[in-house]
Amino acid sequence: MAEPRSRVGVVGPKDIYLGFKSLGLKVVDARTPREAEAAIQALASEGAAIIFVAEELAQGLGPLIERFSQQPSPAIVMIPDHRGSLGLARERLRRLVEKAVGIDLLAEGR
Amino acid sequence: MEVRVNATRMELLRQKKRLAMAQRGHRLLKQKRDELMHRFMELVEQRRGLRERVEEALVLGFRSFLVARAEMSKEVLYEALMTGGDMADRAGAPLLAVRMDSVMNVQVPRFALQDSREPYAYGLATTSAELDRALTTFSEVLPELIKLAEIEKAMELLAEEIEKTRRRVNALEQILIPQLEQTIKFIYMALDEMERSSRAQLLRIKEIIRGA
Repeated sequence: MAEPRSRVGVVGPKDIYLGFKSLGLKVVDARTPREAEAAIQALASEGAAIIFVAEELAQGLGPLIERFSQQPSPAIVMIPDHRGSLGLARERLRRLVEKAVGIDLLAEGR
Repeated sequence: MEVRVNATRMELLRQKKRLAMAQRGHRLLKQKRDELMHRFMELVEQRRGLRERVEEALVLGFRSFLVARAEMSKEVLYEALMTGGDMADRAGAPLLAVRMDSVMNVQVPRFALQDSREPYAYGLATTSAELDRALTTFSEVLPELIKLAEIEKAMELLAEEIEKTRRRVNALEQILIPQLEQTIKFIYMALDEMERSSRAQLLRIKEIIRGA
């Protein structure tokens, strides 16, 4: 195999995300933003290509996520928990569009 | 803007060359910006609805999983997840092929799932239907989740590059090019002025010679 293979990580409370383990994802237990930060750093240095982070924890990790967003790898992606989406990922994407276009395109009809 | 150059023909040529270069760069960067923007909007289009769909599926999956967790003892559940089949070996193993793709010279990763995993290779006797449902949901949503990661990552990287390119375009448009134009105008005026004054001198000299 010429193409490198990478891990996929999940960071968040184990009770919720453990199901992903059976699919081959690496689930790292984290209950606070601080724990999540350490987990993300560890997964990134292991060469994980994608790290899914519980939206609730990602809230407190703005600078870290911002830093990773400018590197080709890993991709940090927020996922909801059982209580549903907090809309953070949408908000983040809206800011990205704003950054790219220079104006707030998706402002109305959001 | 203060212009500090020697008003000579050599300098005029040099400044004109710089202006031509700046204008060419400006045109190219504008094209690059427009193409990047085009790609970016394609990604926006692709992502539309995908995140909502993935989130909905995940929420349902997590709910099932939590119900299953409540129904089963922790030990049984963990055992089901970790020791069933060769799960222990596979957990956290590399399952993603990553290829770098270049979009307008921006390196973006492309992800491909390696093998579709059969998630519920655990002892069925000890586990609940709810757990089956949760794990099925997760395995169904995983390809879309990976796709979402790829798209969102590409959007992040492209947005960064677009912003950089736009800043360069603006710098050329609003600072460098007007500055060069002004410099060239200044040199023209200075050269004209020199020419007039030397002509006036010549005329005077001619007058003096004729008068003598």
